[in-house]
Amino acid sequence: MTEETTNLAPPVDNTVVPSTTETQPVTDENLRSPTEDAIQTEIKYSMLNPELKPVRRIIADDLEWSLRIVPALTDLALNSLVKSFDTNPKYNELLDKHRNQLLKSLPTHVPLKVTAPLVEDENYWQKCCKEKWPICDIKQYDNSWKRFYFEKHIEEIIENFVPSQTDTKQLFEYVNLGAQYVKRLDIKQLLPPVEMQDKILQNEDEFFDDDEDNDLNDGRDAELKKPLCDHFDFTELIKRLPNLEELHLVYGVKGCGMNFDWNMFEFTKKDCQILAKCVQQCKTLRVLHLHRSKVDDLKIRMLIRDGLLDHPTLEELNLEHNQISDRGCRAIAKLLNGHSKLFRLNLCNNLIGPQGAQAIAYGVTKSTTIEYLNLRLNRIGDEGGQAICLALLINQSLCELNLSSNNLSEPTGNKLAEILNRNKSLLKIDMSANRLGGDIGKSLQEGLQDNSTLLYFDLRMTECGQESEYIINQKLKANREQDRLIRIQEKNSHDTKGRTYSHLF
Amino acid sequence: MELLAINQKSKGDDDNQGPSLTSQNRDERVLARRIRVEQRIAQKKRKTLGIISPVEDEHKDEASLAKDQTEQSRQRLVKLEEDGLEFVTNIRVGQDLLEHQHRLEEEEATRKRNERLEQDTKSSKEKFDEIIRNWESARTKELPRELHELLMAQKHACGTMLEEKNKLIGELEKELKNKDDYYVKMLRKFDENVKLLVERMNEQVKSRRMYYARELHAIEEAFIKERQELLDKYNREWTEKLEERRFKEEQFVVSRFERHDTFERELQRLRIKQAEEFNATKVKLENQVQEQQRKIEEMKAIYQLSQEKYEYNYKVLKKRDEENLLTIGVQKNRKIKLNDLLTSLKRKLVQKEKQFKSESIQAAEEYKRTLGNIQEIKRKAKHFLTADMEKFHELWIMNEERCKEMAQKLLDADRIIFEHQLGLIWTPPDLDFMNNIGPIDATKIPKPSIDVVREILTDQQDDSSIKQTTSHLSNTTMKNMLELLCDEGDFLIEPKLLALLEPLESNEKNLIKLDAIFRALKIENEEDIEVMAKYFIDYIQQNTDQQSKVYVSSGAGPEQEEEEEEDEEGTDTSHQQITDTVDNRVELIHPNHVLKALIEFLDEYRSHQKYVFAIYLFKR
Repeated sequence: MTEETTNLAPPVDNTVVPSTTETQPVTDENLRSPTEDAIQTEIKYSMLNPELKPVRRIIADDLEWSLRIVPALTDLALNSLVKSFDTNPKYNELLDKHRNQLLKSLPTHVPLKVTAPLVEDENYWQKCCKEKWPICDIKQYDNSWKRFYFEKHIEEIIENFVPSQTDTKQLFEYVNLGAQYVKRLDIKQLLPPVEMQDKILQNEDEFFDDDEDNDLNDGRDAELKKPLCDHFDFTELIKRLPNLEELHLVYGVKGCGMNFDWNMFEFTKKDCQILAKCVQQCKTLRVLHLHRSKVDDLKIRMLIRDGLLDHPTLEELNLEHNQISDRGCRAIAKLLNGHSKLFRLNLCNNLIGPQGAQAIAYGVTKSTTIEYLNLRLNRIGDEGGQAICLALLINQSLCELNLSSNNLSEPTGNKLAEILNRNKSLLKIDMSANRLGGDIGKSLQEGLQDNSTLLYFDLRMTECGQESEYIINQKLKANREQDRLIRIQEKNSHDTKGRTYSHLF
Repeated sequence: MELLAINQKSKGDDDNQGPSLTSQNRDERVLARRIRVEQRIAQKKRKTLGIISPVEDEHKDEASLAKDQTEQSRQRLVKLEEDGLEFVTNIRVGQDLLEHQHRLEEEEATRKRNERLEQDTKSSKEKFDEIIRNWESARTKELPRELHELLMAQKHACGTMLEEKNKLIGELEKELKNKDDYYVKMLRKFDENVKLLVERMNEQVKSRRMYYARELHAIEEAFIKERQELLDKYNREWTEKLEERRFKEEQFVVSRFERHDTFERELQRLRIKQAEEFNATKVKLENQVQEQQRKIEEMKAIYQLSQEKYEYNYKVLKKRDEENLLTIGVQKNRKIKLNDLLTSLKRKLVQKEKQFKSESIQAAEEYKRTLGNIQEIKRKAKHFLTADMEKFHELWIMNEERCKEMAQKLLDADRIIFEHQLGLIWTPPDLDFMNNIGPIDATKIPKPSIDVVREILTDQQDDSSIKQTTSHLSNTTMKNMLELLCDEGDFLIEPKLLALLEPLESNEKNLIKLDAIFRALKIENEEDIEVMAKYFIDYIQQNTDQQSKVYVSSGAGPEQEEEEEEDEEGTDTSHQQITDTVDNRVELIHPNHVLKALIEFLDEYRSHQKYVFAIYLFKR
């Protein structure tokens, strides 16, 4: 240190020049934090030798004097641009580095109207998203923060939409701005009309007044209000979304707490009609989820008849936790029977009985595309189970079958053991929580001996006996290993093709 | 497929270069086909070999460690994942089962309830109908009391019906309440399950993260380790190679320097040697030149000298020559005189020779006459000798007969005395002598041994004498035997004597030696020698025995024998030949066995001696 200083000391006058030349490029170039750099250099100089400070910096008795270097013109310009971005946006005219700088300092509350068409930068949208939603899983949105932002935003608006009260203008503004980015709408609740809520509140107030009239009164009211008792009308929305592929809907209220009323969870005929029309109009839709919405036979028939039949693109239909029974199943079977390209069908937790299962089995025999069938928590019984097993003999496309908790017993088990020998397409079977018994375990074990395609077979809570279960698991493990090797080979041989079972693992 | 591909490839090649299959030229097409076949074969070979090509093998070996690790990790993780999934989904499955059972129960309960409600409606309807009917009958009632009663009854019936209904309602309400309770319970249970699920999921996530990190670490380590090993290996190889190269270079340099040194040294040495040699030869040659010059000088001097000498000598010789001419003349004169004398002497010699020839003829005639006289005298002497011998023989026989008669008489008397007077058994004494007829031959007394030996050794040619002495052995054999005894029997002679004998002649030496040996062995006469000879000879001829007897009978004296020899030359020579042939066959024992033979001889000879001695004593 001392040596350096002594070296530097003699040419007192000359040192001024290099220092200025040094500092200037820093101020010009370093747009990130020019002020900080300047301060640091300043401090360094002052620390080194107070006499060596640049001459022009020494201003005696100036109370407002600071060490900061005058900010660069570009910074100042950018700052002003940021301030006036909502009124006078300049974006495309800028250089790349300046644009980045601008985006860094651009606040998130700038109206979407301005930013949506202009800004493509992911970092900005990430900032916006993180501000609104602390937890973001970007993977399901094709790693696009912008898509995430818009989808989430629209979902939020719809979820909080109160029919015939909330203004649709705001919604459609947003929709117009981000329509091209929206591919999926995952709507977790749809609020009933506000009158109903009032009515409910009113009812609650009157509840303790007179018990006698309550039932009558309520019923009458319901009848009266019914035309109004619709949920959000999707027609307009869906018309404006050209890239919509997935639609997840729940006609119900989330977190109602003590304000519970059955009417809050009503999926009306009109809703159904509107939805059917929407779905029919939307020619890009691939996935339709409609859970927990009290969809009964009548409505599903209506939906299928008006909306889903012969839909050009629909691939997945998910009707979990509804009230579909045998007649509805017949309609779905019709859908399977050459009137759609369904890949995945989920009818978990419905009221399907043996006849319904038989209808679906018939549909499965006719379908060439179906890959996934879930009938968990139904009541298809042995008759239905056998029918589905027989259908598997004919169908060669089904990969995954879930018959968990279906009151199945030995006859179905026997049938399944028989088909395991012959079917070469099934990869995954779930038979858990059915009382099959030890004998079936053995016959299944025998049936599996020649099967090298089955990869997963859930036999928990089936009382199959530990030994058979263990042997079956070993066999499945071997199958999995083999399958893996085959897939690796295929991947190596032609990298672009290859089956994707990522959803299975 | 592959063939097709190859085809295409080959076609492509053909298109590019070389002969074409579709060429117009026939030969070219043939060539093209051949090339194609070769290519196919090569391709196949490559394919078969390529699968097990060493490069790939190496690659496999290298990657095995990391691959193993990844495989292990993968298996572990898959197991973890599966187990975890099962662990988490167990809750769902359990809940499903519960729900399922609950639904079954619920169905059953609903069915029962419905039945009961139906029953109830039926029964209540009946009752209601009855009440209605009663109302009809009430209109007919006139009496207030009856009416009152009826009303009361109706009221009662209504009351019971209401009560029943109320009871049913109460039960249903109770059931509802139970259901509510159950619902709350279920909610709580769901909550618990969800919490458990979340907990397990969290746990799973945690453990998975941990295991993933661990496995990743392990895989990374395996890779690093493998890489390190590979690096080490290559480094080692590299350093080894470098070291080797360095070593070789060094060696090369060292050897080069060494060679350089040696060559230099050799050069130096050769140079020095060459220089030395050159110097030496130069000096030598100079010396030689000097010497030669000196010699030339000397030679010149000598030449000068000798020239003078020779000149002088020449003068001297000339003078001598003159003298010699003079003496030659004198000698010629003398020679002529001596020649005359020689001729006269020769004439005298011829005369004398004629004279002596006539004288010798006269002497020869006289000799012949005297020889005839001697023959006559000899014949007369022989005749007298035989006559005397016959006379003596007759006389001897006459006296012997008288003696024998008298001896017979004596013997008879002795026998009678023994038998009659003494009464003893008479044993006749030895009466061999009684059988003897004729005079006892004096020649039969054995000669002393030394004389025999002397004879043998000295007179080799005197065959007759030897034949007399040695009864059945030839002279040469005997001589050989005795020489053998001489050579081998030295130990019997005193060493002093041996020393004294040293300067003497061999014959005499042998004689003295044998004398000493015989003395030591106590061999006294000829017989003993014979006996001893038996031991020395392996084979004994019998013919000699007879022959000796013939000579004994005819033999008189040595001189006579000599004469006889001349007379009977023919027969004698024949005998001689026989004996010679026999002798040739007779072989002496090996010198090594001499001692043994001597011992045997001594043993036997002594016993014989004793026997003889015993006879002699008895004779006494």
